[in-house]
Amino acid sequence: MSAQLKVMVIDDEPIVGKRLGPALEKMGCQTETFVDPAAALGRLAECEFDVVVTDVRMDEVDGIGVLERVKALSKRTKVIMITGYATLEVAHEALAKGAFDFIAKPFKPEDLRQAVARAAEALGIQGPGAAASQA
Amino acid sequence: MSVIAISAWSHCHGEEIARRVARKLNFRSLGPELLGEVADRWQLPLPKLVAALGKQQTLLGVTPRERRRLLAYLEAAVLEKLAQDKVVTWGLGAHFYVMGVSHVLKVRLVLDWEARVRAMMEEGGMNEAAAAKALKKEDEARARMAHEIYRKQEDDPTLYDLTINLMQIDIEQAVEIVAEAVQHKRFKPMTFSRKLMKDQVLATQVKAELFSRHPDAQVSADGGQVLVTVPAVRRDQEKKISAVRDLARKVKGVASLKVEVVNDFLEEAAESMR
Repeated sequence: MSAQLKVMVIDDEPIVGKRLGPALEKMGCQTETFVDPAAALGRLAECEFDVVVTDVRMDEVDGIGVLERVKALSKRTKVIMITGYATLEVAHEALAKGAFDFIAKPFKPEDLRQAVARAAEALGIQGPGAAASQA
Repeated sequence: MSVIAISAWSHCHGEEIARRVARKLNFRSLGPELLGEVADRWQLPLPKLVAALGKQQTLLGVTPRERRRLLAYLEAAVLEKLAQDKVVTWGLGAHFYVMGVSHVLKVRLVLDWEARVRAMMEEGGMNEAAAAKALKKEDEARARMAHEIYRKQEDDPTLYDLTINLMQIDIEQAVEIVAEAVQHKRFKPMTFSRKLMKDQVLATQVKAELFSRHPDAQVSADGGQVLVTVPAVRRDQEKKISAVRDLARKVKGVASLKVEVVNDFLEEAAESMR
């Protein structure tokens, strides 16, 4: 169990990673951001992350595909889905497939920080990430 | 944690199952006892509030407009409680207004007519014909309310996540089934579903605040941003916007407010004929 939460952010819109990466680092997370989901999946095969934050709608591999791949590689990794096209059906599908949380865009960085903190808590990690967001 | 909304016709063990599920899960139980609190909070006549839900009828009945007004307050109060999570609600019609919130497990209990009549006979000390007549009247009043306010049929199975036939499954098993079903990951609260619930709480509170003066106001909320749409005749539109603003701003949680006016053609036509 690492003290610093390892978080991967996947979104094909570069601005999302640029905004969310620093917001998560500010709370003490070690963050890697990807705009290419295929590259992100490659990285996931090399290294286990505590939390993966992924967009749902992406061209090459969609968020549900990412979720399935993450869960096949590491059951303990918590996946947080973010989407600008939130519907009850997609949310249900994501949860049924093992997503930890589902957030509709637009959202405030604080919403994501809280979700990441809950994921850390569920993993039993009391690292800087968890502490910062609870403040 | 999640929320459970239990729906049933009267004399289907709804209250008993709801209370037992709440005890088992250590959730709060939220039933018709809330009506007294709602009546006190908004100074409403309690018998009319009960009648608005399609329960015991008052002598003069409840007009559709009155029903909409009373239920607007009730919805605001119920949603406020449901937003706190870990609640089992029953007897307040909550299943109608939490449709889109995924962490609410909606349960329908079904019991056959004869068993309900027998229960009514025992409870009310009536003969079979009187019990059947009273039950039929109650069911009709409830169905009228559901149609009038929500445009739904209460026993439509597509409204529910889970339907339990109490002729096949006893109360003990039903409690177990509901308690187990709510643990399913589909009913886990998410940031998305919590936000939907919060938006709905705010929208119903604004609607309740506006109702006495602006009963036709349509209200929606998105993260503290509230949109109110009201009909008004052309010459009164500015006045109406300002009146709506003054009232809606009083509601805690309204971060920004947009008021849109649509032409009230009916009122304009009526005025031109006077």
